[in-house]
Order: sequence, then C-alpha cells, then structure tokens
Amino acid sequence: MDPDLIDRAGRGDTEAFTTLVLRLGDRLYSVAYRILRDTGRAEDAVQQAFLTAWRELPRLRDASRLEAWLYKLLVHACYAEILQTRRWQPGLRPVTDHDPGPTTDDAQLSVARRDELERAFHQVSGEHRAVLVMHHYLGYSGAEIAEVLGLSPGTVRSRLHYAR
Amino acid sequence: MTRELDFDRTLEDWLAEGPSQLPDHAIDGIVRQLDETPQRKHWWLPGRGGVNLLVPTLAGAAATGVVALFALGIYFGNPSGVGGPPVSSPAPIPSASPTDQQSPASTASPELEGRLFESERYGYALRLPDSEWLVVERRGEWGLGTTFDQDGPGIDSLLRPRLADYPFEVYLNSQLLPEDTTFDAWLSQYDELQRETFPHCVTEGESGSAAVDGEIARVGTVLCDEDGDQWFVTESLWQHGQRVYSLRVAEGHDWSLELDTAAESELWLSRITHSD
Repeated sequence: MDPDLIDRAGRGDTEAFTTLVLRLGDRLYSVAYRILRDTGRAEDAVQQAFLTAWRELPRLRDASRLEAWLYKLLVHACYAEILQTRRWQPGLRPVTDHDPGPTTDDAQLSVARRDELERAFHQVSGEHRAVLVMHHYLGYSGAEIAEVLGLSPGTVRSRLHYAR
Repeated sequence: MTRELDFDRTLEDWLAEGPSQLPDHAIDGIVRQLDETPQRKHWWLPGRGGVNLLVPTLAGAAATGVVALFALGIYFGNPSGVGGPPVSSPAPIPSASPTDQQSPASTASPELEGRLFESERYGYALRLPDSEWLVVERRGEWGLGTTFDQDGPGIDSLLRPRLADYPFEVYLNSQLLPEDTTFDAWLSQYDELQRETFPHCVTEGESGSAAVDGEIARVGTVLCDEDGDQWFVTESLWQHGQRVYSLRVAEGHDWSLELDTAAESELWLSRITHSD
C-alpha cells in the first residue's frame, strides 16, 4: 500500500481515501459477507469500517498497518451488526445468482452440507465467526489473527477450536 | 485427521461462495459521507487538512455544529503580519504585499477599525490582526476532566484561510471552574490528565507566565514526538472570574521545531480582553 497515499488520506485528502476504498473495499466486503452472511449488513459493516478509518486515520501510527487495522475495524463493525439484529435464520439458504444449484446426488449432499454449515455458522458468535473466516477464507495464521484482532494466540486457538 | 481435513475443505469451499465485490452504491455511500465526517486529529497533532474542515459556508457551518463565524477587518500591518511588539524570532509569516507595511490607521476601513471578535459564551474579546481572519466557534462544551481536543466540542479556532502559509494553529477553549476547586487544583488535575493522555508530549523547559488583560496565564511549551514527527505546542492557561481559559498555539504540519510558539502565544494573549 502506497504510504504517500495513506499519508495524504490522513491529511484529509478525500480522493486519496477514495482510492484506498477502491483498492481495499472488495476484500473487506468479502470478509464482511462471510461473517454476516447478508449482503446488506455486510455493506453496512464495510461502510462503518471505512468511515471509522477515515475519522481515525490521522492517529494511525504506522501506515504499513493500515490493512490489518481496517480488518480490525471491520470485524468490530460486524460484531455491532450481529448484536443489532439477533434473529433466527431460516433453515433454507436462499439461492443466489452465483449458486448453480444441485444437479447430482453429490451436489444435493453438498447443498445439505452447506445448509448445515449455514445453520451452524449462525449459531456461532461473531467473535468465533471472525476467527473462522480469517483463518479459512483469508488464510491467516493464528498468530496473524491474534495480531490483527488484538487477541492472545491462545484465545484465537480456542475460538477456532470451538467454532469448528 | 481425514475427517478434519474434509471439514476444513467443506468449510473453505463454502466460504469461497458468495459475493466478493463491493457494490458501487456502497462505495458511493462511503465517499459521500467523507466530507461530512471530520477526521479526529490528535489534539497535539498539527492539523492535517484542518482548514478545509473548518472554513465555512453557512450550510457547512450548520452541518458541523458551528455556532458563529466572524471575519473582521482589523489589520495591524507590522512586518510579522500580527500586531503587538516585534518578535525576536524570525517572523513566521513571509513577506506580504506592500500594503502590509502600512499602519493600521491608513489601511483599515473606518467602520472596521476597533471591531473585535466577541465570544458571548466565554466572555472574552479578541482583536484579530486583519480582515482575513475567522473565528470558528464549535458547539458544545469542553467537559470538566477531559483533555483539550482541537476537534472537540466548544473549541474556538482561529483561522486565516486564504493565507496558507500562516504556520501556526491557534485554538481557544474555556470551561467553568467548579466552585469548590481552586485554579491551582484544576491545573494540577489537568496536567496529570495531559501527561496520561499524551505521553509522547513532554514539557520543554520551565513554564513561564504572561499577562492576559490583568490576569496571569501560566505558559508552558511541550515538544511532541510521534512517529518521527516533532513539533512544539504552547499552551497558556489562566482564570478569569469563574472560568478557566486555554489558548493553544501549535506549529503547523509543515514545520518541525522551527517556530517560536511561545512568542506567537504572547502576541495572541496580548489581544485578548475579558468582556465583564
């Protein structure tokens, strides 16, 4: 990430910050969706994370930590989204445009398995979901997750174990 | 182990599904709110982009909770660009137009001469150097037991927006002194709070004093050091009646330990009078 870009954004340059949004937005959204399993709420969480980042960016000590910091802000925004709306998730996962749907027995099993995961995922807390997503989707190690979320490695390990 | 690997694979396949592109309307929503979301600058940190956040339009002023804006036509025109006794340090303001060298009487418009910015809420008046200056009053109150935050509530910010090379940032704030608290006790608590909140800013030299319309201000300068960025800030604190006042003069972002913030503070203090 371009340190000059981050510096300019920290000085109130909205164009520079918009560039950061364009560069990082997709990745953050991907993570938010996978934690929240809802596109609208994921958009809200990403928006919240970026606006918090904009507001607090002048205080960021180390520009090289921007991305990790953004993930932290995003995860906290996701926690807030989860707390706001505690509702029972319907058992059937909605079919979306990118879901080809089952065509074979294996695929049907896969759909059932996915539904099972969806249900189970919604029963897990935001903190556990975040750790699962960061490890299994982003590929972060336990130590990396601990650093980003400000947790001890032990806590990360236990959350991963519990969530799985 | 195989079962765990199967689970991991299934989980990862499942997580891989789903959208991965932030919709345009979401991006637009973020960008649209940037102008309305002030950046929270560290109060010791030279303002970064602060002018564009505070320079007003009336609509913008309403949006940011600004109470009032004043632009006054007083111009003192000494070589440093501000009134008062000449400063010993190099004048921070670069040479201006030839009219800057003339006396106030010859350049100031008659109806503007002698006009002051008056703060009704804080009970002080301030003689501004020239018509370029603005005072932006932010709504709210500086809460007891809280640090002085240049982005916080109740701040009066002194701006000369069209003179981008004025190298200082100047802020003033005030709060009521509780009846059962002496000024010295308030100072002691305030100093402790500042030390705890801003450990990267350390006192530079001995504190001094300066006169503010018959009151005596304690004047102290700190040197702040954050991520290799260094700058001076002078804070003057005084009591008048049941109020405490703080005037902050900090080096602007493009300056680093080059400016005499204490001298600049004295100039501003000499322009302040109390309304009662």
